Amino acid sequence: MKHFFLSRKTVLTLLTLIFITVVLSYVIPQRISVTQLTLNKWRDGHAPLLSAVDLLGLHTIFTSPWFAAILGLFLISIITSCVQQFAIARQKTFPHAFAEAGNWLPVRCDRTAAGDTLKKLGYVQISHKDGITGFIRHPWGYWGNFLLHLGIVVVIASSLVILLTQQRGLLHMTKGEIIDPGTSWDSEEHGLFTERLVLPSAITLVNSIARFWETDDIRQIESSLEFIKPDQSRDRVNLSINRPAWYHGMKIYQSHQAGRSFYLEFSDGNVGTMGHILLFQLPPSRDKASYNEFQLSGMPFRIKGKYFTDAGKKSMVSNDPLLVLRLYDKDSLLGELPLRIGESGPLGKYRVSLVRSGQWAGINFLVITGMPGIFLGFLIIIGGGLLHYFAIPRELIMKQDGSMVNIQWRAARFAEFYGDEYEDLLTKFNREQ
Amino acid sequence: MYDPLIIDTAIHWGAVILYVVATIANVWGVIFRNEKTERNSYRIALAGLCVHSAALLYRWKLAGHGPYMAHREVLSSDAWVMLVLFLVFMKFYPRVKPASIIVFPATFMLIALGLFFNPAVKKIPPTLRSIWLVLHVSFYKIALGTILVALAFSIFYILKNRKSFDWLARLPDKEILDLYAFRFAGFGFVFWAIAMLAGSIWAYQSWGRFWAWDPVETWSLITWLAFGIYLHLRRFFGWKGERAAYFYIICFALSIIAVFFTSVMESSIHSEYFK
Repeated sequence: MKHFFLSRKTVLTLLTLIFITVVLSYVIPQRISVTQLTLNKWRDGHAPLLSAVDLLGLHTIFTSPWFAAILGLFLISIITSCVQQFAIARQKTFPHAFAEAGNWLPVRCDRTAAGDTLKKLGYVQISHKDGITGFIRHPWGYWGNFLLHLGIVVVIASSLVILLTQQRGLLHMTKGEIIDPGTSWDSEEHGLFTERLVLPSAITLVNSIARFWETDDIRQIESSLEFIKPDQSRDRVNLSINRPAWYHGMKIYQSHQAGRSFYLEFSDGNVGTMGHILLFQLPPSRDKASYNEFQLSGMPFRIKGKYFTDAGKKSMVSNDPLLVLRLYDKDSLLGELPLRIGESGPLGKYRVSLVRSGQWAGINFLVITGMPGIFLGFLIIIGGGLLHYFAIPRELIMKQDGSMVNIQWRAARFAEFYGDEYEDLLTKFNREQ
Repeated sequence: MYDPLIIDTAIHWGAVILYVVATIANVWGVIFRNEKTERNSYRIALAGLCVHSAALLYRWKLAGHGPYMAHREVLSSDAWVMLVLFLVFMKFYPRVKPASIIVFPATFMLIALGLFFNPAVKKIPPTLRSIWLVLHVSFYKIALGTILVALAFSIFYILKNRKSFDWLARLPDKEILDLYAFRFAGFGFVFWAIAMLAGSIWAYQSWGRFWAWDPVETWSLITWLAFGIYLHLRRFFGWKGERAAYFYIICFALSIIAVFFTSVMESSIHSEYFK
């Protein structure tokens, strides 16, 4: 079994399979990274492939059992390789008998002078056995490859821990709205070993403020949330982008998604009045609109909308936004209606009123374990990379032969690059006579 | 009063002109075995680097953040890092010198390409204010510089194997060229891994998500895996020479798609970076 996991063919096959899988995940839309609308569009356009896609679970590649199996085999293979590399590195770094490799080269120098020269050049004496003395320059360089692979193991293992145990939920919260624990998330993920995340108590968005640079780019988004406990007392947390908050072991992130919500009433002679809240992301600047598309419940038509932060297009912070709605039946336009707060008008067969508008913000709630492993893996890979490429071990073995010493020299990797160093070494030895 | 963006553009064009002159002198010197001209080409490139550095500093002051937001800044700083890395490598490994006939033109072409994009300064959004982003971007730039040097050696190998131009004789032996390509690809692989990890730590800090399978992340992983396959093929399956060089060129093409194209073509957290 060990031979199977250490086999070069196994490693290459697993790497290639992971490569092909990741390419597939790019070509075929994944549920975790696209909207249902995008996914449906892709499926409509690729009907002949759907049976294979569904059979193999190609819309959820990264949570599919076969991908977990490939990753698991890869992890076992790389761990086995690490264990082997650890043994090799340990054996080479600490005292051991050096094997003769190639021909001995006599130099006109005695052993003590040669040892001193080597010490000056950073060589460390590792062993002295049977008349053969072994020196190594950069002995820690043997650990580079091991550390590189260990770092990758730590990162993959930590990612698996995160994948299996994380709980996360995203809420698009409008100002003043109270959300009870157990309310469905706007987007939710949880690991195989955990349940869906449930809020510890009801929550409300007290405030959300977006600040802008003079160029209209977003400078910061700050929100205040209140957790409403059963006795109606409230705990407030403040957060902003890059400044998350903690509450009862849960990490709360301000999403970069934020903007304006519009509460609209649609009246239709047959059905009566329906209320809908439409959310729009902040537009890129005061003279540009933000766009969104909606398929509202109870309505057979599609709505496309755009909104400007200010009807006069003079400010990013305004209480007079402009909303323009378009009603579509498939691709045919049924009507268009610009609205300001308090206005109403016809849109196709509906009469639409813009009743009120306010801020909304995306808030991410997260329980996660394993990130320290990613940091650790990062550091180990850096260490391994530095040792592997910048501390190439150079071995020199030496034996006394009368008044001369015989030496053998080799570089552990990329020997062709160190030919000059060997020449310099010989020159120094011969000078020491 | 001059428009600061015109000054920024003018200084960048100054650097481009110097790099173009350096390239002409370099190609002339290498191909026609004129050592004096070749030596002068490095001096001109150094002068270009000074002007280029001034342009980047001016832009930095103007924008209020490092050169990692707008296309122009990103491409210009990529070119700067690539050239500086090459000059540093040249100091430690003098045999990489002939790679200048690929690195010099790549430098001025990257800057010139950047100059065709919108020069407007983009203020830094809050999600991009993180030291991890700086590390993420810096390591990608370093990775890009090293894999470009590896590309130069792979191309040299193929040329030397197939053609018999006089100037090719001045390059190191084929075996050394092959080994350099291998070694620099290894550097690139390690720096690419570090850059990806720094990016995932930044994403966790900003969004609470260390990996989101967005198109840029996915392409970056595809590239890294491809380099991993290349290194394993070379180390354990005895791939070398022309076969390895062609495989490397495919890996390089993937890296270019990952770094320059996916963030522009696709909607992802990274597209905010380039908007």
